[in-house]
Amino acid sequence: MSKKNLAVFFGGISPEHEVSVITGIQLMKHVDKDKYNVVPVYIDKAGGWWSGEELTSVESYKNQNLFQPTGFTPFSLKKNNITTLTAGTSVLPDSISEAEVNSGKIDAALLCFHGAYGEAGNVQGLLELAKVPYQGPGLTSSAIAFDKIVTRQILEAEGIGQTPYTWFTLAEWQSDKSAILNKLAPLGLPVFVKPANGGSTIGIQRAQTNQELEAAIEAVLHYDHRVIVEAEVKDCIEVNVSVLGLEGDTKASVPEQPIKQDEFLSFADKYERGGGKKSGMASATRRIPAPISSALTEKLQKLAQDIFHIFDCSGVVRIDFFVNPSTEEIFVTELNTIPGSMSFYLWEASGVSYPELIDRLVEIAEQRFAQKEKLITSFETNILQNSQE
Amino acid sequence: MNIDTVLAILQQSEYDLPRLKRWLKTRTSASTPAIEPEKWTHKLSFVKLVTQVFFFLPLLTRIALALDLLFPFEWIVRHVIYTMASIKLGYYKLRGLKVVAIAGSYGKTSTKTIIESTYSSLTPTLMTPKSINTLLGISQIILSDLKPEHKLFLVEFGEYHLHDIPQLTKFVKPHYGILTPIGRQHLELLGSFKNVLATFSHFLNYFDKKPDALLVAVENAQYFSQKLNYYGTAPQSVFRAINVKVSRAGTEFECLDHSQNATLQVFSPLFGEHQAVNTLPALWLAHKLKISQVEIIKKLRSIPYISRRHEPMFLARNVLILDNSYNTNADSVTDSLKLLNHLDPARRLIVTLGFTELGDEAEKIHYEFGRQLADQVDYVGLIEAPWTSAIIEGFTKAGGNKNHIVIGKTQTEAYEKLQQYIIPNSIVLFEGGYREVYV
Repeated sequence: MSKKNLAVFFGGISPEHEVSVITGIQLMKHVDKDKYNVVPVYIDKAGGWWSGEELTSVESYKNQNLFQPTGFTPFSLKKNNITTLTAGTSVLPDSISEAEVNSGKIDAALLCFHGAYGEAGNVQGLLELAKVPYQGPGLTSSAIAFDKIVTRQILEAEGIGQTPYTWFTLAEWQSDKSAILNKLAPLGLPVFVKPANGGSTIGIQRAQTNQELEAAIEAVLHYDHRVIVEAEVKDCIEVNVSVLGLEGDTKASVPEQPIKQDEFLSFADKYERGGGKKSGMASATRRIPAPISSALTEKLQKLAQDIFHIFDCSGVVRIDFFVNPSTEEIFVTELNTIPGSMSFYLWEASGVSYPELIDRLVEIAEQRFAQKEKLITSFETNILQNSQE
Repeated sequence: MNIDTVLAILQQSEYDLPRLKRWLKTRTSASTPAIEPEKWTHKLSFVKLVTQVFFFLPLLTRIALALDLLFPFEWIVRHVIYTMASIKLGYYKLRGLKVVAIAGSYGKTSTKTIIESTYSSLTPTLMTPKSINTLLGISQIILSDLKPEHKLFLVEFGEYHLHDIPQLTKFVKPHYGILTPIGRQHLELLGSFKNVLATFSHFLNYFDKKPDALLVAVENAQYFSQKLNYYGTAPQSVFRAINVKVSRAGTEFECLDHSQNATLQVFSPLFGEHQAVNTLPALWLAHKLKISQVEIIKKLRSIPYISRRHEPMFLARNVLILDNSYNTNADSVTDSLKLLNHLDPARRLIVTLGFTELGDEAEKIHYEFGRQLADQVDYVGLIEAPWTSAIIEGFTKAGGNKNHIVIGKTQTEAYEKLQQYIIPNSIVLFEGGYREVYV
């Protein structure tokens, strides 16, 4: 069986650029080289496109100006002009020979972007236009799931539980701060202040007093002109579930509980002389599975799959919740359409190895593409013939 | 040997001079790192002062002299405290305070803490903190912490001498009693297992006229002929845990409540079948106090971990530390090893001292413990003790690889030597060795 050409896209113009580089490199390391030719596609912080073998090593990014990296092979969109791209057109860089890749066609692309542009639908739209199969979600799903306000409005319309919230824009804030603060008052304190668009925890502020709230809003407005403020729910823990698949064939992972470093006494504090320097036994950043009952786990997995369906997701997605383990109440907080590390650790704990996860994502990319290809995209018409201008 | 180290041991031995003498016989300065007493109380400071003033006398004579000098004063103070505490407790009981006494060889603190954690937000509850379980300790808590608003008082009973349980029962006069499993833990202190059983029989006798106010661990059924309400996993239990599933998420089980013909689905983040069993008295007590079992089950789902009782620490690479270092004994260690295997780690490691207070049976029991370890763990970090060689002998005789054992003078040292063997998905169990390292 001939090898498939697998393009791995990462980097991008985003505050989460570095996290994306790590996700991309991690994924490329786990690709089964007997099945795939890996084509790294790195987008630098200024939007330049690059490729080449050296992009598979994290060392290549150290001591680099990532706005203007040196030593990489340019991936020229001029040469492979997007407007002339059609199915089967090579988008491979010159450095990879035809012999190496068997053919110039990209069989599937896996997007490892986090944050703006890469996760928000922009690249997805580009690839749709270029007819390059990718794991999804598609342009629309990516764009709406990336916007926390729109996500919540959809959840609300679907009757799915979420924490109380409100939102406003920069213009509204600048015109009448006190009106906005009055609007926020029913949420109580503490609250989380977040940019409407933005992944990870970058830009997110927790405010415990009115003074902190004002300062948090000012800070968050540096990341987006729309701000969402969410109430903090008591006695809840954060639990995340990943969903893998395509409409009609989805699977939910075991749940994880992210652990804040100050939450538990560190192991080094308790057991080691010299603060753990000897052993390098770092505290875990997550707990898998989360400390919740099997009934609550099943409820969360079902809900995660429902949300995946509502947002027309595909590929691998992580849905974040707040849950109250005692009352078993569930509040959805957000969707990550391209989760950090592709949530591979959740899939490993669910019995799917990273190479198997990659295989499944490639399969999804191909299935999605095949489904799209079946759709009617042109219509026999004589409108132009009869047009008189 | 460093005087502060000796005084620390004296304090840990509850000022029991014969115990201190026995300990000194087994130790040399070279094998004992210097330690500080847990707390410099007035009593301990006074003993130190006397040992310094009479520096020309042998050390044990100086300590005996200090304790003799203190005795009359201490006797008066103690009895004033007992009397005041007794009056206060009696008055609060008249005002509706319910008292639950928890006795047994092991599982007492976990049982007490689980009840306190689940009840405290439903009814004002006070428990004797940590392992404070002597008459003086309980009296001091009554005087300092018991408030008029408290509706439930959970009292842990210690058993250091034959007369302790009868004395505590008479003093507290509990409304309800819970007897956790009886084991070989206090053989050294109580002289024989027959004496151990005799002391707990006093507890049972107190509830002769109100048997429904007593719940007894089913492991104890073999020792008593009378009809009792048992709890545990065995079929004769009135409160029985079945279908216990232990995972890294916690422990899930069904509680069969035969008193109500009900089946309850329970989850708690605590680890192990033994913790499922330790949860049963909280569900039993709900009936007695007319509190909804459903509310208790809700609280159990988010119960905090109990300090150093299989308390987890989550490390990178999915390494889990289970800290059961506060206390262990030859009987309860089976629960820990069972838990280790239930969680199915890539590698099973243990840091342990062995067991204290075993008297003449120490060698034999530790040899057996070594055999048990050979079968159930991959690597052993031993904290040096007089019985270390017996553990090693048992381990190697049962087919364990001697190279899989490391020895340290302290828990920290033993653990540091063991670290090289930790691989991803390992579990390291700290079994005993926290407080009683030197006793």
